[in-house]
Amino acid sequence: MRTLGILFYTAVLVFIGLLMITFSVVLSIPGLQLQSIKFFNDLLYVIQSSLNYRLVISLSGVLLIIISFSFMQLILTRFQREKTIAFQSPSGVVTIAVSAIEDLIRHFVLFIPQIKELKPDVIVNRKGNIIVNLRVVLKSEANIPELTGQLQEITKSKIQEVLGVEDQIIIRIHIAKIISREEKEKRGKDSEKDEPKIPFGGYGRV
Amino acid sequence: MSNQNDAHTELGTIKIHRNSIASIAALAALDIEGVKGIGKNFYSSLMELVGRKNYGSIRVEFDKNGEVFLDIPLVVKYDFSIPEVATKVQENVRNSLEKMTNLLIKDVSINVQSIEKN
Repeated sequence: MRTLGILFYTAVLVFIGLLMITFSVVLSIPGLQLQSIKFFNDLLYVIQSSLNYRLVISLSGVLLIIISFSFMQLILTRFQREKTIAFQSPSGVVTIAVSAIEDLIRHFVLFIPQIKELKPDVIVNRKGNIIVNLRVVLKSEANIPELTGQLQEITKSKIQEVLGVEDQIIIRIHIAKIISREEKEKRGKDSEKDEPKIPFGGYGRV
Repeated sequence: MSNQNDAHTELGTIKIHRNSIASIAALAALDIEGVKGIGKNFYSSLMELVGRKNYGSIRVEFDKNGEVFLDIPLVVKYDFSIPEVATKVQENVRNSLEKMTNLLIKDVSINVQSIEKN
C-alpha cells in the first residue's frame, strides 16, 4: 500500500509537471500562440457554460483530496508503527517512539562539556536491535578515543536503564567536526558584533 | 462505532461518553510521578490553540462486549524508568476507570511520544 501511495503521488506530480512544461512550450511557439490561447479560451468557456463539466471537475478535485489524505494517513501510520520499540506488560502494550529515545540522548549528553553539538538518529532493525547513530561536533580539547568510548558506554547504559530493555544496542559515533578554540572565540565575537543594539537599552539600569 | 458506553439500570440508561473516559484516564496518568504530560495529536493541538483543554489524543474504543481499549500517548520526564512509569500509569488508569465507571478495561496501551526535562 505504501508503494502504491508513493506511485500515486509520483504520477500526480509528474502529470502536473508535464502539464506545466507543455503549457509553457505551446505558449512560446509563435505560430501556436494565438491558436493555443483560443483553445484555452474555448475550453474555459465550455467548462463555464456547462454545469456537468463543472461538477465533474469539482468532484474529481474532492476525490483527489480524499485519496491523498487516505494515502497520507496510511503512510504515516506505517512509519509510526515502524519507528517504535514495543514491549508487553500485564495491562497492555507499551510503545516507545524512537524520537523519545533521541530526546533522551540529547538530554544526557548536555552534561558532557567536550561535546559542542550532537545529532542522534535511532533505528530499530527487524531483529529488534537498537542502532544509535550519533553525529557529534567536538571541542578541540577533547580526547577523541576516550570521549567516544565514554559516550558509547553512557548512551548504552542510559538507554538500558530508562527503557529497561536487554536487546542488543549498537552505538555508532561519527565525528562531523572539531571546533578549535580560535574558531569558538571568533564565533563568539561575531555573534556579539551581529547583535543589534536596542535603542535606550541601558536606560534605567543601575 | 458508538461514542459512548451504555449501561442499563432499572431507572434508565447511563451513558458515559468516550471523552469522559479519556479525561479520567488523563488525570489518572498525570497523577503518576514521572509523567510530564499527555502527548498531543493534530486535533488536540488545534483545540488547545482555541483555548480548550482536550484529551482527544487518547484513543478510547469499545468492543462488542462493552470492554474498553485505551491508547494513551505520554510525555515522560527525563531520568525516570519508562517501563516503571508506563506500568504505574496502566495500573492507575485501570483502577481509576474501574472505580469511577464500573467499566471492564481490556487493555491500556501506552505510547511514549517524547522525553522532556522538568
